[in-house]
Amino acid sequence: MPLDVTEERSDEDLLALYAGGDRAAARALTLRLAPRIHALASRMLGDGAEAEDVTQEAMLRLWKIAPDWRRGEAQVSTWLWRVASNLCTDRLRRRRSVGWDIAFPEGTEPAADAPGVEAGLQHRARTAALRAALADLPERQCTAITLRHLEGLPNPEIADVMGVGIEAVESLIARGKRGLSAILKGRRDELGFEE
Amino acid sequence: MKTRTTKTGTELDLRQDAELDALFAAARQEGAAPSTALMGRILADAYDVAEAREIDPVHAPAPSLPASGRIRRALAALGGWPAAATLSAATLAGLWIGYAPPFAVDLPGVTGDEETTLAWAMPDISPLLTEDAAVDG
Repeated sequence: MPLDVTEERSDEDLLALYAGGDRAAARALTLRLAPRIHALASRMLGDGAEAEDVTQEAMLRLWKIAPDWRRGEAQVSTWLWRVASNLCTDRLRRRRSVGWDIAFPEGTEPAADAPGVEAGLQHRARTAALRAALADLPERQCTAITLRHLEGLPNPEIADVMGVGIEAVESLIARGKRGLSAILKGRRDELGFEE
Repeated sequence: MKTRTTKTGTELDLRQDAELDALFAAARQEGAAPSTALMGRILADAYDVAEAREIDPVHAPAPSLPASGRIRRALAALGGWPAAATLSAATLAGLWIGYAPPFAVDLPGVTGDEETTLAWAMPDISPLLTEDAAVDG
């Protein structure tokens, strides 16, 4: 099947086609979903290699479940977000059990086109500080904040991903933001925030 | 002397929100695209899973070995081809010995016609014993 045809199909249709042996459907799903999962994992974990592992593992689970997928019960993307965020949470938990220095390696490089050296440094400092602060939050708060403020998912979808109600999501996000502010309180100058 | 103003709770919340928004914005710009190698691995997984499903559509626990594989494994367990050849020869010899009646029973005059009984009990090797056969090689 040509790619321009697969682009018009829903994730669910493509998954059914893949389950029936259509390789073009697998290519289309990979191009459509893997970058989003990779972005989520990168932001939650802050480590390129780990983010790649999580992305590959989440997609592998999608391929395996394809023949048993029950139409209409969940969105493919929501199911995949859930798998990926759980994999990230597991890794964050393991990091905490082995200690901060060993578990939290240096972050990924800032975007190559970051404007100016000073701005680039500040960009890097802010990104690293946020990543470190997120890693200090309880896992579910970290997941909710990442999905809402970094991935831009609406609260109802986050609720589906996390298997909780919308009010619980709102509460997790609110507590998470308070937690982030508390963690970052002593670093405001360093991050370029003035009184 | 610099005077310090006290911020209200709302002002503080707004400031904290604005600062967090700035951090989120910085982090959102960072998203690195997945490498081509990663995309390749993901697609290879997709094909592997699909092929395994084609071979084993009912999720059997393990794909069965092809006949040649099973034979090779059995031979290896026996000690390889030489052992198998020896075993075959011994089996055939045993079969012939078991199938052929004891020679002593087929004595002429006891069980029947001499020529018929001997011809049935043993392969005919008389041509090999003639002078012509020995010369011809």
